Amino acid sequence: MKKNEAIDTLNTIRNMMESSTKIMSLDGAAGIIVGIYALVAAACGFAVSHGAFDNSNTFFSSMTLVERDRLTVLCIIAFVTIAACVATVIAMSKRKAHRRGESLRLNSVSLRLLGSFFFPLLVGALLCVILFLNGYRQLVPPMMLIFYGLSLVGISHYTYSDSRYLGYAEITVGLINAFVGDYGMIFWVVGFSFLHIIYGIYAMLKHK
Amino acid sequence: MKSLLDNINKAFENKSRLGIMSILSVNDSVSFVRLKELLGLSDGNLASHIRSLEEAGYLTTQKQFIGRRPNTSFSITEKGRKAFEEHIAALEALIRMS
Repeated sequence: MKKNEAIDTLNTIRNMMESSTKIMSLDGAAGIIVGIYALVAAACGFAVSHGAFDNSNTFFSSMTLVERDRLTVLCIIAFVTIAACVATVIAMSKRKAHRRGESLRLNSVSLRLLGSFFFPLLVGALLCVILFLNGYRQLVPPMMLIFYGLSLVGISHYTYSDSRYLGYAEITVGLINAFVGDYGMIFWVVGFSFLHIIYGIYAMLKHK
Repeated sequence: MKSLLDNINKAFENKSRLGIMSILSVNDSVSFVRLKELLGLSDGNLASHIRSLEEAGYLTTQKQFIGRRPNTSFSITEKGRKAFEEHIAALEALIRMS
């Protein structure tokens, strides 16, 4: 056996180990798009909660909102944003898997990845609802950031290990927000929009 | 004197068998279907490679039913792990030498 063959063989071993334990079809571009969705959602949320649509003189006069309706509209924005993010990530991962000559399907790895992603998120979501109902509204944005960060750290075993750095960054932003207590909207935009866009660009450049 | 290079294992010279061992070395247990998908082999081909590795004592088979469907999965044995690690160490030695 020659040296080149040995190097090829070791590369084959490494690739097989990686592809049998990790999903490598997450796309950096999806991070950028998710970041843009978050920015749009935050702008809509800001407009709604600051009464942009309450003034009957505006173009939206037919949409005059009262306080109770505002909350409903905010919830709808949140659900639409989450659904759009999930759909985009799945669609772009499928496309990338296809380009790599693989297929994205449910197997032991993708199930573990989904489990370790959604478990902390579910706990975080319940906590956020409880905090909100008990009147600790300021704590909701930092908790969203912290639990989302924990999810990202958790999935880093099953995909690009860099995703844990994005997780650490989200957790840091969340903790600072919890300490400061106010300006949840700004921290939310920094965490869910800017960090995603920065990470997306980094991932695209690195894994091109 | 027995050199490190003697550890280059004939059983792993075949690319498919090397793939099977690589996958099993980092997973607790892998199903037949998943191995087939990862390696892109036919049923018969994969079965024959698995049989030869099993005869060498490098992997064990677990047969069970998931619902009504039979499901066969495989795990690496201690002996298999040791042989595979020695094989990798021998390859690395070969690269360093030349």
